[in-house]
Amino acid sequence: MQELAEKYLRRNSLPFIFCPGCGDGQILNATIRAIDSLGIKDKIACTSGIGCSGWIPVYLDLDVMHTVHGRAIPVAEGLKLSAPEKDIIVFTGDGDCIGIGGNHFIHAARRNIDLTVVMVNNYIYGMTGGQKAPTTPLKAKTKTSPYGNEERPFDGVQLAIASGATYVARWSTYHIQQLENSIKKALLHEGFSFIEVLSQCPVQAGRNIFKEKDPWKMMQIFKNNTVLKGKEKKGDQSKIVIGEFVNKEEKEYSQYLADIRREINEN
Amino acid sequence: MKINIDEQYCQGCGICIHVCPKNIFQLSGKRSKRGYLMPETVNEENCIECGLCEKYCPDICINVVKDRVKK
Repeated sequence: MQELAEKYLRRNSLPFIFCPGCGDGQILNATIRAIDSLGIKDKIACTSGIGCSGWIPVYLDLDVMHTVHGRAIPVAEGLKLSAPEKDIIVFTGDGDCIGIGGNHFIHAARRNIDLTVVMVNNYIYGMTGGQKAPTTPLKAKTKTSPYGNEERPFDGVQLAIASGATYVARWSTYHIQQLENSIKKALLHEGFSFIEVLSQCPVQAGRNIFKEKDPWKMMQIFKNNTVLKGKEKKGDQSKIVIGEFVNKEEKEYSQYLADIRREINEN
Repeated sequence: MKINIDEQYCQGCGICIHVCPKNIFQLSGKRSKRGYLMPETVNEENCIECGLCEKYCPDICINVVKDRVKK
């Protein structure tokens, strides 16, 4: 057991519920390192939705809440407005964030409320047995699309940019150090921060979509099929672009509310 | 220098075996109490303390104990 894990994890809820080689554990690991290097353990609160990724904050010895399906962001918004001094991390999955909770997600991004949303994208509904998700690639065979997926996938990063998020990044579990730095930046950023993490699911996505059950080989697929932003070739759609997409300063939602409150009190 | 792998939490995914630049980890063939195939360490003196195994471990169970004195 690492020293950091002893400091940040609830010992009585261990071991993890994740399958062997699941990327969720690596994301938890990176989050712990990011929080520890900033030294803001007491300021952090986490919420999570339903799905494998919903279990990530459950092991953290912080203020955490495991909420209903797709509604991790609304709960976090309420928490942020009632306790503005907290830095809130929301862990959601792809089906949770842009599937069932898509409307909550785009409106939280539009408001530019100070949340850090970490979306774990494993391309499939892993916990319930491998049904197709909004991010499942075209023509991929899953349990609910045995002749190939006929729907085009959602791009969470482009959706966040279009909705007005002020910090948007995408990394994979192979790029673990960059992910840690990105979580650190997002925690310090004032405004809606969105990080998409491509994560391996060796059990469901590995068996059905990637045809590769070994977690390390799935991480190699992420390494070979991604290209850093700014280095991509024009017109080449075959590789997934990773990196930092947006990092801009805009007025945050709770500051608007504080201004309105001050105006009302003055008049 | 000591590399501890916590048998209680390791699930034998094998990521540490591939991620180590000095090939210190290898599959031992032994099973832990929970039934997972455990990795073991060989030639620990080659370790350069890069910390990649600690960072990539999904079960947060590898601990590289550094014996260098902090200045």
